[in-house]
Amino acid sequence: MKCLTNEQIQRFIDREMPSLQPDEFQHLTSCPDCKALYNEQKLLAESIKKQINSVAKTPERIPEFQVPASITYTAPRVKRFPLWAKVAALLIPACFVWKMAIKPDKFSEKEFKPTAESIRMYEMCNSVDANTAFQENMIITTVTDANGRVVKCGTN
Amino acid sequence: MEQFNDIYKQHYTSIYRLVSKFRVNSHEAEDIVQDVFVKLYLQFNSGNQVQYPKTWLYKVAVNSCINAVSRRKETESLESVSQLEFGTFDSLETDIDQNEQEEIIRNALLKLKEHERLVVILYSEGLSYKEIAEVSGVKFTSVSQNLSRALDKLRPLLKNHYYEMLNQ
Repeated sequence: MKCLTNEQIQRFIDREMPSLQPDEFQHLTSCPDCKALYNEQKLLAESIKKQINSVAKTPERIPEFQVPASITYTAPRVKRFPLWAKVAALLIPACFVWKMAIKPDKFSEKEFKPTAESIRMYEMCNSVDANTAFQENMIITTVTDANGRVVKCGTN
Repeated sequence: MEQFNDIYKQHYTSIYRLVSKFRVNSHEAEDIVQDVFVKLYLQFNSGNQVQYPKTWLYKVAVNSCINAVSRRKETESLESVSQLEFGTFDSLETDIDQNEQEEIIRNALLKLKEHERLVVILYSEGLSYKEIAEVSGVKFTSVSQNLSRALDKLRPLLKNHYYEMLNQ
Protein backbone atom coordinates (compact mmCIF):
# COMPACT_ATOMS: atom_id res chain seq x y z
CA MET A 1 0.00 0.00 0.00
CA LYS A 2 1.13 3.54 -0.79
CA CYS A 3 2.13 5.82 2.07
CA LEU A 4 -0.58 8.06 3.48
CA THR A 5 -0.92 11.68 2.42
CA ASN A 6 -0.69 14.60 4.85
CA GLU A 7 -4.43 15.03 4.52
CA GLN A 8 -5.16 11.43 5.47
CA ILE A 9 -2.78 11.64 8.41
CA GLN A 10 -4.42 14.89 9.55
CA ARG A 11 -7.80 13.16 9.53
CA PHE A 12 -6.36 10.37 11.66
CA ILE A 13 -4.94 12.92 14.10
CA ASP A 14 -8.29 14.64 14.46
CA ARG A 15 -10.23 11.36 14.47
CA GLU A 16 -12.27 12.60 11.55
CA MET A 17 -12.24 9.50 9.38
CA PRO A 18 -15.52 9.29 7.46
CA SER A 19 -15.57 5.52 7.98
CA LEU A 20 -13.32 2.86 9.43
CA GLN A 21 -10.29 2.47 7.16
CA PRO A 22 -8.61 -0.77 8.30
CA ASP A 23 -6.04 -0.79 5.48
CA GLU A 24 -4.92 2.75 6.17
CA PHE A 25 -4.82 2.14 9.89
CA GLN A 26 -2.81 -1.05 9.40
CA HIS A 27 -0.37 0.84 7.18
CA LEU A 28 -0.04 3.70 9.65
CA THR A 29 0.89 1.34 12.47
CA SER A 30 3.34 -0.68 10.40
CA CYS A 31 5.05 1.95 8.16
CA PRO A 32 7.84 3.76 10.06
CA ASP A 33 7.77 6.75 7.67
CA CYS A 34 4.06 7.31 8.08
CA LYS A 35 4.32 6.77 11.81
CA ALA A 36 7.04 9.41 12.03
CA LEU A 37 5.03 11.79 9.86
CA TYR A 38 1.97 11.20 12.04
CA ASN A 39 3.89 12.07 15.22
CA GLU A 40 5.47 15.11 13.61
CA GLN A 41 2.22 16.42 12.17
CA LYS A 42 0.40 15.86 15.44
CA LEU A 43 2.98 17.92 17.24
CA LEU A 44 2.83 20.60 14.56
CA ALA A 45 -0.95 20.82 14.77
CA GLU A 46 -0.82 21.09 18.55
CA SER A 47 1.90 23.72 18.40
CA ILE A 48 0.04 25.86 15.87
CA LYS A 49 -3.21 25.53 17.80
CA LYS A 50 -1.39 26.68 20.93
CA GLN A 51 0.25 29.60 19.17
CA ILE A 52 -2.95 30.83 17.58
CA ASN A 53 -4.73 30.53 20.92
CA SER A 54 -1.98 32.61 22.53
CA VAL A 55 -3.10 35.53 20.34
CA ALA A 56 -6.67 35.28 21.60
CA LYS A 57 -7.80 37.48 24.45
CA THR A 58 -10.20 36.59 27.19
CA PRO A 59 -12.67 39.22 28.38
CA GLU A 60 -12.10 40.47 31.90
CA ARG A 61 -15.74 39.87 32.69
CA ILE A 62 -18.91 39.01 30.85
CA PRO A 63 -20.86 42.26 30.58
CA GLU A 64 -24.59 42.31 31.22
CA PHE A 65 -26.45 42.07 27.94
CA GLN A 66 -28.05 45.40 27.17
CA VAL A 67 -31.06 45.26 24.88
CA PRO A 68 -30.68 48.21 22.49
CA ALA A 69 -33.39 50.83 22.98
CA SER A 70 -34.39 50.72 19.34
CA ILE A 71 -35.46 47.10 19.65
CA THR A 72 -39.11 46.67 20.51
CA TYR A 73 -41.12 43.52 20.65
CA THR A 74 -42.44 42.45 17.31
CA ALA A 75 -45.07 39.78 17.29
CA PRO A 76 -44.40 36.88 14.96
CA ARG A 77 -45.93 37.52 11.56
CA VAL A 78 -49.13 35.64 10.90
CA LYS A 79 -49.78 34.80 7.29
CA ARG A 80 -53.05 36.43 6.19
CA PHE A 81 -54.96 35.57 3.03
CA PRO A 82 -56.58 38.41 0.99
CA LEU A 83 -60.35 38.69 0.83
CA TRP A 84 -60.56 37.68 -2.85
CA ALA A 85 -58.72 34.44 -2.08
CA LYS A 86 -61.17 33.62 0.73
CA VAL A 87 -64.18 34.37 -1.52
CA ALA A 88 -62.70 32.30 -4.34
CA ALA A 89 -62.03 29.43 -1.97
CA LEU A 90 -65.76 29.37 -1.09
CA LEU A 91 -67.21 30.08 -4.52
CA ILE A 92 -65.26 27.60 -6.64
CA PRO A 93 -66.31 24.44 -4.74
CA ALA A 94 -69.86 25.80 -4.40
CA CYS A 95 -70.17 26.29 -8.18
CA PHE A 96 -68.78 22.85 -8.80
CA VAL A 97 -71.29 21.22 -6.44
CA TRP A 98 -74.16 23.20 -7.98
CA LYS A 99 -73.19 22.14 -11.50
CA MET A 100 -72.68 18.51 -10.62
CA ALA A 101 -75.51 17.86 -8.16
CA ILE A 102 -78.25 20.37 -8.87
CA LYS A 103 -77.99 20.83 -12.67
CA PRO A 104 -76.50 17.62 -13.95
CA ASP A 105 -78.30 17.88 -17.34
CA LYS A 106 -75.87 20.55 -18.46
CA PHE A 107 -73.12 18.03 -18.43
CA SER A 108 -75.12 15.06 -19.78
CA GLU A 109 -75.16 14.20 -23.48
CA LYS A 110 -77.94 15.52 -25.75
CA GLU A 111 -80.80 13.13 -26.07
CA PHE A 112 -80.79 11.28 -29.38
CA LYS A 113 -84.15 11.60 -31.10
CA PRO A 114 -83.92 10.31 -34.67
CA THR A 115 -86.74 11.06 -37.12
CA ALA A 116 -88.65 8.23 -38.82
CA GLU A 117 -87.07 9.27 -42.09
CA SER A 118 -83.52 9.01 -40.76
CA ILE A 119 -84.25 5.57 -39.28
CA ARG A 120 -85.52 4.40 -42.67
CA MET A 121 -82.44 5.81 -44.33
CA TYR A 122 -80.21 4.05 -41.82
CA GLU A 123 -81.91 0.73 -42.47
CA MET A 124 -81.56 1.15 -46.20
CA CYS A 125 -77.89 1.93 -45.95
CA ASN A 126 -77.29 -1.03 -43.70
CA SER A 127 -78.90 -3.37 -46.22
CA VAL A 128 -75.88 -2.91 -48.49
CA ASP A 129 -73.89 -6.13 -48.67
CA ALA A 130 -70.22 -5.37 -48.58
CA ASN A 131 -69.28 -8.72 -50.13
CA THR A 132 -71.13 -8.11 -53.36
CA ALA A 133 -69.96 -6.01 -56.27
CA PHE A 134 -70.41 -2.26 -56.10
CA GLN A 135 -72.66 -2.26 -59.15
CA GLU A 136 -74.99 -4.84 -57.56
CA ASN A 137 -75.71 -2.67 -54.54
CA MET A 138 -77.99 0.27 -54.39
CA ILE A 139 -76.31 3.26 -52.81
CA ILE A 140 -78.57 6.00 -51.64
CA THR A 141 -77.11 9.48 -51.31
CA THR A 142 -79.03 11.98 -49.22
CA VAL A 143 -78.62 15.66 -48.53
CA THR A 144 -79.94 16.90 -45.20
CA ASP A 145 -80.54 20.41 -43.93
CA ALA A 146 -79.30 21.85 -40.65
CA ASN A 147 -82.15 20.20 -38.76
CA GLY A 148 -81.41 16.77 -40.15
CA ARG A 149 -84.30 16.72 -42.61
CA VAL A 150 -83.64 15.07 -45.95
CA VAL A 151 -83.91 17.68 -48.64
CA LYS A 152 -82.51 15.69 -51.55
CA CYS A 153 -82.20 11.97 -52.22
CA GLY A 154 -80.54 10.05 -55.04
CA THR A 155 -79.49 6.52 -55.95
CA ASN A 156 -76.75 5.07 -58.18
CA MET B 1 -35.55 34.99 26.97
CA GLU B 2 -34.09 32.66 29.57
CA GLN B 3 -32.71 30.52 26.79
CA PHE B 4 -30.98 33.55 25.27
CA ASN B 5 -29.40 34.49 28.58
CA ASP B 6 -28.04 30.97 29.00
CA ILE B 7 -26.53 31.02 25.51
CA TYR B 8 -25.09 34.48 26.15
CA LYS B 9 -23.35 33.39 29.34
CA GLN B 10 -22.20 30.11 27.83
CA HIS B 11 -20.75 31.45 24.59
CA TYR B 12 -19.69 35.03 25.30
CA THR B 13 -16.10 34.15 26.18
CA SER B 14 -15.56 31.76 23.28
CA ILE B 15 -17.00 34.24 20.76
CA TYR B 16 -14.84 37.00 22.22
CA ARG B 17 -11.76 34.80 21.95
CA LEU B 18 -12.60 33.92 18.36
CA VAL B 19 -13.11 37.57 17.40
CA SER B 20 -9.86 38.59 19.07
CA LYS B 21 -7.97 36.20 16.78
CA PHE B 22 -8.91 38.38 13.84
CA ARG B 23 -7.21 41.68 13.16
CA VAL B 24 -9.44 43.77 15.37
CA ASN B 25 -8.69 45.88 18.44
CA SER B 26 -10.29 45.39 21.83
CA HIS B 27 -13.03 48.01 21.29
CA GLU B 28 -13.90 46.59 17.90
CA ALA B 29 -13.97 43.09 19.37
CA GLU B 30 -16.41 44.15 22.08
CA ASP B 31 -18.63 45.86 19.52
CA ILE B 32 -18.58 42.85 17.19
CA VAL B 33 -19.44 40.43 20.01
CA GLN B 34 -22.26 42.72 21.16
CA ASP B 35 -23.56 42.93 17.57
CA VAL B 36 -23.48 39.15 17.22
CA PHE B 37 -25.55 38.67 20.35
CA VAL B 38 -27.96 41.46 19.37
CA LYS B 39 -28.55 39.58 16.11
CA LEU B 40 -29.21 36.41 18.07
CA TYR B 41 -31.55 38.33 20.38
CA LEU B 42 -33.46 39.60 17.35
CA GLN B 43 -33.78 36.04 16.06
CA PHE B 44 -35.29 34.94 19.36
CA ASN B 45 -37.43 38.07 19.49
CA SER B 46 -38.96 37.46 16.09
CA GLY B 47 -39.81 33.90 17.04
CA ASN B 48 -37.26 32.26 14.73
CA GLN B 49 -35.67 29.07 15.98
CA VAL B 50 -31.88 28.83 16.01
CA GLN B 51 -31.23 25.11 15.92
CA TYR B 52 -27.49 25.16 16.63
CA PRO B 53 -26.70 28.40 18.49
CA LYS B 54 -22.97 27.66 18.75
CA THR B 55 -22.46 27.25 15.00
CA TRP B 56 -24.81 30.15 14.31
CA LEU B 57 -22.85 32.45 16.62
CA TYR B 58 -19.51 31.41 15.16
CA LYS B 59 -20.78 31.96 11.64
CA VAL B 60 -22.15 35.43 12.37
CA ALA B 61 -19.02 36.37 14.34
CA VAL B 62 -16.70 35.25 11.53
CA ASN B 63 -18.70 37.18 8.92
CA SER B 64 -18.75 40.28 11.12
CA CYS B 65 -14.96 40.09 11.59
CA ILE B 66 -14.34 39.69 7.85
CA ASN B 67 -16.63 42.65 7.15
CA ALA B 68 -14.97 44.79 9.83
CA VAL B 69 -11.49 44.05 8.51
CA SER B 70 -12.42 44.68 4.87
CA ARG B 71 -14.28 47.89 5.78
CA ARG B 72 -11.21 49.15 7.58
CA LYS B 73 -9.00 48.22 4.66
CA GLU B 74 -11.17 50.29 2.37
CA THR B 75 -11.07 53.39 4.52
CA GLU B 76 -7.51 53.44 5.75
CA SER B 77 -4.13 53.50 4.10
CA LEU B 78 -1.96 50.37 4.11
CA GLU B 79 0.40 51.85 6.65
CA SER B 80 -2.24 52.60 9.22
CA VAL B 81 -3.82 49.21 8.59
CA SER B 82 -0.61 47.43 9.46
CA GLN B 83 -0.37 49.48 12.65
CA LEU B 84 -3.91 48.56 13.56
CA GLU B 85 -3.51 44.98 12.54
CA PHE B 86 -0.62 44.22 14.76
CA GLY B 87 -0.86 46.87 17.42
CA THR B 88 -4.19 45.52 18.45
CA PHE B 89 -4.60 44.55 22.04
CA ASP B 90 -1.46 46.34 23.05
CA SER B 91 -1.15 48.44 26.12
CA LEU B 92 1.88 49.84 27.81
CA GLU B 93 1.76 47.14 30.42
CA THR B 94 1.92 44.19 28.05
CA ASP B 95 5.14 42.40 27.57
CA ILE B 96 7.16 43.36 24.49
CA ASP B 97 8.12 39.74 23.83
CA GLN B 98 4.51 38.76 23.94
CA ASN B 99 3.71 41.44 21.37
CA GLU B 100 6.52 40.27 19.12
CA GLN B 101 5.30 36.70 19.33
CA GLU B 102 1.79 37.84 18.52
CA GLU B 103 3.08 39.81 15.58
CA ILE B 104 4.87 36.75 14.20
CA ILE B 105 1.75 34.62 14.51
CA ARG B 106 -0.54 37.25 12.98
CA ASN B 107 1.95 37.77 10.14
CA ALA B 108 2.12 34.04 9.53
CA LEU B 109 -1.68 33.84 9.41
CA LEU B 110 -1.75 36.70 6.93
CA LYS B 111 0.37 34.64 4.56
CA LEU B 112 -2.44 32.09 4.23
CA LYS B 113 -5.32 32.26 1.84
CA GLU B 114 -8.55 33.62 3.32
CA HIS B 115 -10.33 30.26 3.58
CA GLU B 116 -7.22 28.48 4.89
CA ARG B 117 -6.81 31.12 7.59
CA LEU B 118 -10.44 30.72 8.53
CA VAL B 119 -10.16 26.94 8.72
CA VAL B 120 -7.02 27.13 10.89
CA ILE B 121 -8.56 29.70 13.26
CA LEU B 122 -11.70 27.61 13.66
CA TYR B 123 -9.59 24.48 14.10
CA SER B 124 -7.70 26.19 16.91
CA GLU B 125 -11.08 26.79 18.57
CA GLY B 126 -11.53 23.02 18.78
CA LEU B 127 -14.38 22.82 16.28
CA SER B 128 -15.06 19.56 14.47
CA TYR B 129 -14.61 19.35 10.69
CA LYS B 130 -18.37 19.44 10.26
CA GLU B 131 -18.67 22.61 12.31
CA ILE B 132 -15.71 24.17 10.49
CA ALA B 133 -17.36 23.41 7.15
CA GLU B 134 -20.64 24.91 8.30
CA VAL B 135 -19.10 28.10 9.70
CA SER B 136 -16.50 28.75 6.99
CA GLY B 137 -18.53 27.65 3.99
CA VAL B 138 -15.73 25.30 2.91
CA LYS B 139 -16.91 21.88 1.73
CA PHE B 140 -16.82 19.22 4.45
CA THR B 141 -14.62 17.00 2.29
CA SER B 142 -12.15 19.86 1.69
CA VAL B 143 -11.65 20.81 5.34
CA SER B 144 -8.84 18.31 5.97
CA GLN B 145 -7.15 19.27 2.71
CA ASN B 146 -7.26 22.99 3.53
CA LEU B 147 -6.16 22.33 7.08
CA SER B 148 -3.13 20.19 6.18
CA ARG B 149 -2.13 22.73 3.52
CA ALA B 150 -2.42 25.59 5.98
CA LEU B 151 -0.43 23.72 8.63
CA ASP B 152 2.27 22.98 6.04
CA LYS B 153 2.46 26.66 5.13
CA LEU B 154 2.60 27.68 8.79
CA ARG B 155 5.32 25.15 9.65
CA PRO B 156 8.32 27.23 8.42
CA LEU B 157 6.77 30.49 9.60
CA LEU B 158 6.24 29.32 13.15
CA LYS B 159 9.17 26.92 13.31
CA ASN B 160 10.88 28.43 16.36
CA HIS B 161 7.98 27.74 18.62
CA TYR B 162 7.51 24.36 17.03
CA TYR B 163 11.11 23.30 17.64
CA GLU B 164 10.81 24.51 21.22
CA MET B 165 7.94 22.10 21.61
CA LEU B 166 9.85 19.31 19.89
CA ASN B 167 12.71 19.68 22.37
CA GLN B 168 10.41 19.59 25.37
